[in-house]
Amino acid sequence: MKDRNKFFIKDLNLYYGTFRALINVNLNIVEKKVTAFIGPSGCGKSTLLRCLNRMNDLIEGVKIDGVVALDDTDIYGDIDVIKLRTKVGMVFQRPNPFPMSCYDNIAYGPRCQGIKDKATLDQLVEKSLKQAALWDEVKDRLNKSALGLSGGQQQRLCIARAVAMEPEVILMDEPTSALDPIATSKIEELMESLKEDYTIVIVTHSMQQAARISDNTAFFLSGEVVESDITSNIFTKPRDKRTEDYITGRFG
Amino acid sequence: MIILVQRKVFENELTRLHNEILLMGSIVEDMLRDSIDSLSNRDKDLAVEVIKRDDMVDGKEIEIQELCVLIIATQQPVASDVRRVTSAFKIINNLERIGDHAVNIANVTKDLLDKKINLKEINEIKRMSEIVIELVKKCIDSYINLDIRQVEEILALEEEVDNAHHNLRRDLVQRMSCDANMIEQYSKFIFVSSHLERVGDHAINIFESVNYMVTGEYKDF
Repeated sequence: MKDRNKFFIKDLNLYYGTFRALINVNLNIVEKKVTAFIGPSGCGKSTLLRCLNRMNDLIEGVKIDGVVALDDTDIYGDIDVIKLRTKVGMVFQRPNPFPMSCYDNIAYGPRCQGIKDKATLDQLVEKSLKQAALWDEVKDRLNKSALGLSGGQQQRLCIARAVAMEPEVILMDEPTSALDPIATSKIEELMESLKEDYTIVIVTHSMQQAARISDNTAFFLSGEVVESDITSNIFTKPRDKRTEDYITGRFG
Repeated sequence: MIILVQRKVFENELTRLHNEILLMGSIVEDMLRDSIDSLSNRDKDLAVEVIKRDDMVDGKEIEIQELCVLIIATQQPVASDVRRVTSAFKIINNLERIGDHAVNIANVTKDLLDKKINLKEINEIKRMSEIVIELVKKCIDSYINLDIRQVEEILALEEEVDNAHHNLRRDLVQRMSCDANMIEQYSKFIFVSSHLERVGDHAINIFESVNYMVTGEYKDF
């Protein structure tokens, strides 16, 4: 079956005031695949990630031109941004569980959406925690504070919280950089199963992580997408010398 | 700010890998040359010397393999670096096989020491071996310089080797039918010709690995 594009990004430019942080970005994000954004610090990876659910709207002085289309609909057109952020969830670098129970963390979003029925919420919480590979570890402590979980567990809770909203896309901004190797490995394994149901876009500073878990990789440099291709091509025979130099560690 | 970084340890290991492969190539080239010299000069000592060098070649192959595994495990090479390291496995395997063929030729020298042989066959083998040695040298040079531009000359040499083998085998078979006393000798020379032809194949395999290193594409020449 031919791959379908979930996001279509065309001639995207973003300015923080007068600083042009994204320059003529053209990129497709394939549906139900993991796409990794790699590149040196400050090259625009997280900026583009935040464009995909309009989180940059919350930053003062940001200006955007170009097209970011989700399922052929321009998300910078006349759309409901709250609904967009339901469809396009986000997981951040530092795990940020709410200061409430594990159960309430997961149920919070659905409750805001108007779901009040306990049985429905119970089912949703269980399903989300199972999808995040956390159910077995927390099922006997659902009413205890999420802040008592380990870092890796907290991050999986945040993923469960995102999937409870039944998104179509999950954005991950360096989701494992604050975690130990075992917790990292669990999150990476989780992504393999999550991509069966969701489109995943991940920003990572770890080339090895991008090589291990992603289907497609885009290399950023100074606000531009230098090269994007299937991950195996990027890491075995990149076309652009700048990509080759970066991923082989000759510059950073 | 973009800065150039040096992965010193990694660069040193890649340099070491390159040099070890060159050394192995040099040993094997000499073995091949000396094996033919031992045959044409009926030099038993040289033949024995060639056979002894095979242990060195086998040892080098293992040493280089272990270095490649270490680089992969500790440095996680990608792009041209990973192509270089993985190609090294194939290159050293082919070099080791060339060494084996040189040993087989040296064994023929020992077998024929007390047998009558004609200058005609020796000269034919020598001529064929000169083309083979030039082919091996060009393929190893393509690795040294990561340069695949001599592809036409290399393929032309390979064709010459194949033709030389085909013609020599045909002629020797014919001679066998005319002179029953020389059957053993002519058979051995056919073996030598076959070994030289196989050396040519291994040289082309090395060139294919170099092509992959340079272009990232697998191509069967």
